[in-house]
Amino acid sequence: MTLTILSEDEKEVLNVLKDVIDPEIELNIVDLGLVYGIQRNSKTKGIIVSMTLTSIGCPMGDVIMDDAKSVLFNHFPDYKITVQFVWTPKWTPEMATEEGQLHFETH
Amino acid sequence: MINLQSQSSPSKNIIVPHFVIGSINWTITILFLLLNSDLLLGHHFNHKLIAITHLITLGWISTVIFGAIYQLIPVIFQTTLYSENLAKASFVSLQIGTWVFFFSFWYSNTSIPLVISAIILAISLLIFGINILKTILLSNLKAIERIFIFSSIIWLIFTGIIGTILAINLSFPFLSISHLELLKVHAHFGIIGWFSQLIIGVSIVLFPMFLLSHNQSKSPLKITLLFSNFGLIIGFCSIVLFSNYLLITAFISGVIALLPYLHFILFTYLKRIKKKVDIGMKKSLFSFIWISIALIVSFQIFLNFSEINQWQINLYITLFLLGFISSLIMGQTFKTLPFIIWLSNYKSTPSHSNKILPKDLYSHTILTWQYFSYSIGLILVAFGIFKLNNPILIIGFSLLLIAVLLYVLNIFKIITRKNLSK
Repeated sequence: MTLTILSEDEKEVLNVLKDVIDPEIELNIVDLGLVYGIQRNSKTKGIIVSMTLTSIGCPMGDVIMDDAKSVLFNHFPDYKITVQFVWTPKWTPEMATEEGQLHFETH
Repeated sequence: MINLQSQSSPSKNIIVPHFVIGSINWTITILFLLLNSDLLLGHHFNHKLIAITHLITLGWISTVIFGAIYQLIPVIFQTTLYSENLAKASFVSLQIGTWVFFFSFWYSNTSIPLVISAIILAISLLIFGINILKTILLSNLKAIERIFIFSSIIWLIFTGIIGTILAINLSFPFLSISHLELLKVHAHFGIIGWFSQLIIGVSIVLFPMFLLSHNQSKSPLKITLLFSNFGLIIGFCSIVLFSNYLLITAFISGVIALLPYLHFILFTYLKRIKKKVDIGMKKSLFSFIWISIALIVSFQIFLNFSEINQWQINLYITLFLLGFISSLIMGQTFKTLPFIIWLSNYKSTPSHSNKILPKDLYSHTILTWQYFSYSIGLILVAFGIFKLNNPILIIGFSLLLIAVLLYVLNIFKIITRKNLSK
């Protein structure tokens, strides 16, 4: 799944999310293709991240969610951060970025 | 709303003792095997060999599996463990029962302590079974892995009941059918029904998850489920009805059951996205070579049914317990235990700081040496049984002992690590 066109503000959120690593795969959640959508509203001071996991019941689920909230809160302390899991479409390895695909080949 | 796994995990104080005591029991077992290796050159119905077999199956395999299952069930079924108190009760009774049972058999004492220990063990297995069945029933997940695990628990309870009947029969004979024949039923209910079905149910979830191999259909595994259960029931009937035809049917069913599962594992491996396989997974995958060889040996036993060589039976049991199941557990330990400790100790440290990952909790060098020492040791043990050669067995068990000591060392390294940074 490709992220819909992001504004510069939302791209900033996406870059921050690159700090969140899936501890089992050792790759950040953006290059892994887990982030499905970002909404950043400067007026209401809200950030909503829609993301998935490599599989439902992934043991690292809440760790990844906590990390995502934590890094976003550190970068955007004035914003209300919401991270929500979505399960459709189901994640497939093809959703990873080029960097992600390279990581799979070498790790 | 989905339950996130670590929020619903049982306390690590429930799980970690299973790994610690299980691994210590495992070391003692290998030490006993090293000091009494000639037992594997004789008949399998030997009181010392039965004692050691139960130390392997209960003190080592079941103990670690119980601990791992308490952690994995919330992952697979997105639920919480039904009762931590039942888990504690099951753990304590399993250890007491196993050791009293072991020494009763070791010293060939078939009096009251043996019967009491068998009853304690049956209660322990029953408590575990109820706890897991109740946990599974809390989940709405409709998946074949649920049926495999459900089915394995039923066989565990059956094998526990039959084991207790056999122990009572040794002290106070009352059975009309052969003790040795019922022992085969007990063993197969335990090895195929309990261990194998549980391993299948768990591995078809974990292996695709760890290897990032998501596109395997689980539908053919219905054949595995159907035929493994059918084979076990028919196998039991063949003993009760003294029917060789039914025995042939049971054997063929077992082979048919295994094939779709081996196919699933092979294709999960071949179609994995993550190209580099870590040592824990390598060791786990290597265990499937042992089950394949065990299958070949079982063919040979079956084809020479009228003239079974004792070494074939000993080799078959060794390949299954020390080869397949133990290798798999020793590999998967490093995919589960570090994660349990990591979740408990380190997860609150944000990942953008230099935080350690689950894989940083153990020594990969030690694990690599463990892997090679165990593999070579097991090849030598198998060869020693085949050639009826005790010196080869001693060398093989010495290497296994080194491997198991390295395994224990790494476990203690994981559970005692204190610092939070790399």
